[in-house]
Amino acid sequence: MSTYISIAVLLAVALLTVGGLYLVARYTAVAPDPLERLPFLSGWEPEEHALSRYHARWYPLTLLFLAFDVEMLFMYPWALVVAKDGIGAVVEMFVFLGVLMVGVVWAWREGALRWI
Amino acid sequence: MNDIVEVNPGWALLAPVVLGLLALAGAALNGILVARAEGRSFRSGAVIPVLETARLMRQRRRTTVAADVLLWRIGCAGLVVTAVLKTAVIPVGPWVLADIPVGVVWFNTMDVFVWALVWLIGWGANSAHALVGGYRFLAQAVSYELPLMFALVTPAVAAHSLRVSDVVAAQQELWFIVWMPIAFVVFCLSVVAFSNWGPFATSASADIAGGILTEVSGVDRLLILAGRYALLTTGAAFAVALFFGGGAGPLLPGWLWTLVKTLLLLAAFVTLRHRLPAVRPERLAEVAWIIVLPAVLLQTLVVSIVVAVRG
Amino acid sequence: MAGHATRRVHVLVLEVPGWGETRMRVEAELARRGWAPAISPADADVLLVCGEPGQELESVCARLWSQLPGPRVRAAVITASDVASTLDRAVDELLDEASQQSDARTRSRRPAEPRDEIAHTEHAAHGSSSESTEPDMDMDMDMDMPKPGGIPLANGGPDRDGLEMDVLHVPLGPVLPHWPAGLVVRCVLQGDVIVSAKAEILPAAQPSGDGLVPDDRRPLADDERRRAVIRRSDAAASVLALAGWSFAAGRARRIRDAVASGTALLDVTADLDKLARSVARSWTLRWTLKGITVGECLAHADDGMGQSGSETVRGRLIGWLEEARRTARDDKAEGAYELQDPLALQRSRLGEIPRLLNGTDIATARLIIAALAIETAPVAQTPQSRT
Repeated sequence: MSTYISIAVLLAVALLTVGGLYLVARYTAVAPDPLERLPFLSGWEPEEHALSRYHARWYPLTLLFLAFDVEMLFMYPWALVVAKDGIGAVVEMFVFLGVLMVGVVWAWREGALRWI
Repeated sequence: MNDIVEVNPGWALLAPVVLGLLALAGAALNGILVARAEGRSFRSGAVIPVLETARLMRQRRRTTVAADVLLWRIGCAGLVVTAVLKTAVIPVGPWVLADIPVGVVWFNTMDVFVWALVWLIGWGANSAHALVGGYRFLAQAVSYELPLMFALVTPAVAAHSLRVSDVVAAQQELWFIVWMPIAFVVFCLSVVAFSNWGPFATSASADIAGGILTEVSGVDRLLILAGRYALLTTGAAFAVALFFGGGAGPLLPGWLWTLVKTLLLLAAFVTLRHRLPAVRPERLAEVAWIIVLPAVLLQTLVVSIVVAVRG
Repeated sequence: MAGHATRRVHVLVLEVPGWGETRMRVEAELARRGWAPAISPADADVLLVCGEPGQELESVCARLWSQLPGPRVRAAVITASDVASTLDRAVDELLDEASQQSDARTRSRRPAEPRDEIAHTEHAAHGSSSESTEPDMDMDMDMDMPKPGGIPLANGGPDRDGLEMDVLHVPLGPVLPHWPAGLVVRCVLQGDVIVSAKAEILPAAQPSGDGLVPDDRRPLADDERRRAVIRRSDAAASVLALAGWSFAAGRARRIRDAVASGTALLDVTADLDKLARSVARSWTLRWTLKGITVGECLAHADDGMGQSGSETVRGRLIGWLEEARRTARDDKAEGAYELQDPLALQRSRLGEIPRLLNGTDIATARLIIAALAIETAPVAQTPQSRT
């Protein structure tokens, strides 16, 4: 039980420290309220809001990542049973990883890892 | 022999202080390196973090027109909080705050939070440069995260456990660094990458006017900068537990060994900053997926075969 | 606390074309004092204008000034010899708690500009200060478009893959770290990739400057050799800094500052050798700069930087360092730096920028522009130079 109390205490201390800093800064800063300004554009004014549909050209990479990341879900429990299940577990996992790696190499040859 | 014990939650009050002091030491070393490179004295460099803190505490905070302020501030403050939460599972000598059965996964969870936080800092500002910075970090993250996960899981395989104290105990005969050098190197580089540091600091670099830092000033900026050092420090401390036998060592008490090893590793991380050119995400992707990932997979394979044969 | 807070002042430098020497002196002075150059207005305590800005640069300066969070100080310096005293005055003003607080109290909390104007000029060609179209017509057009904070939302545009993606208009320059003085490249971005770009130079108020521009074709006297080394190491420092290699950039800057402050050229050759060697050897630099070029036609243009004849960014960087080494060591160097008409050269560089930057991301674009090492001063001196 004390395990999770410790984590809760840590969280509380961290949040209080951050909150405390903001409080202290209200007194130490030249003015307590934030200044609202136009975003920095090398000295020009924005023609539109920056928040927009950002064109992430590496989106094929994110799919590749997702496939591998889901695999990690199995990797953690697997780590606990390797010793018990012996070489069979190793073969199963690495055949699976090998298949995924073939996929990565294929995606690489298709150019998914280059986007500029 | 599993000699790591959980301590009273009261010690959780001390952990952030220790983390802060170590992070400050890292920042001071960085200041010293900068000062030496510019031909100034050792001392003038060591005080830089203190001067910067004073400067930022005096500086007014800033926001931008139609900014997403809530998400933005969550991002600014979150890095420090995440780093502090990581300390829960990091053993210092014979003590640890929370010896949870999935300590390794806990660390992993926290560094995935960093994805969201850095991106939020970039997004919240409603500024083109900050936005580019935030997305640069994501592009980098999809490349470093998988190698990092395999580097994390390899010691766990060898220890038959995801509990950090078990991982430390499993190194009594031989530190994991000796037979998992690839996992160690990959882990260290990933720590530098998720701390947004050195060659992997492209999301906050000068070519996009500071990227995620473009619009933040005052205490907001202080929290981001401090958060980066704190993440670097917890990363170093976790590497000590995973690969350097935790508090093991002759003469000195265990807790001191942990601190000494952490400081040495932290110093190595800090020094790396100025020594290498930036690794831009689009350059990193190919190397990370085609060279580093198979290499660390091979490392995991070797370790798991050894473990499976030994039974 | 104010005492500690002002011992590491961050200075945002606005360099007017023609005042390179002053800017370099500022950078040297910042390093000497343990201050830091600011990378954006939010990072700055002092806005320092080097030179006499023209009208457009003046308005850029005013906008930047409004973006400094405070405590803030604005200062100007015209000659390199005034740099130290100007910075001393700036720190005094920063320390003045009462005036800083009254400045913070009196300035408006929100941006002062009536931002409806921005929305209107959006339809006009950017860069021109033409009057906006008729107000009521605009009102109709913007009726159904939400405009939080008076700024319209981004619109879509076709990208190279045939998708429709939001575009952002992001001017690069005149104030960015490691950026040529007065240069503005107006970029249209999709993500961080440049779809189109247009370059111009914002001139100084009058074509004077502090005189670092190479204007001689005589055999190199000591002074010219110094200038040649300074100019090359300055350009190398920019490229290295943008490549993210801060230590190498710092070394290039120290060499530059040593030469500028009168150190004998022979005394810097050892440092130059060391720097050139480590730059040429670094495989990480080779990897990070791989495939980034400035285009054939510019690579061979005679620009007074030494003819490395290379079209890669890395090749040019190494070429400059080699050239600086040679110049520093050989005091009988001939006037190998015959310039072609500098105006024509700079104009061709500006004209090439759109083609060079098209399809690159910002990081690559910054490296390309740094590798062009555009000398903006002579171009800015003539009115017809605007492209």
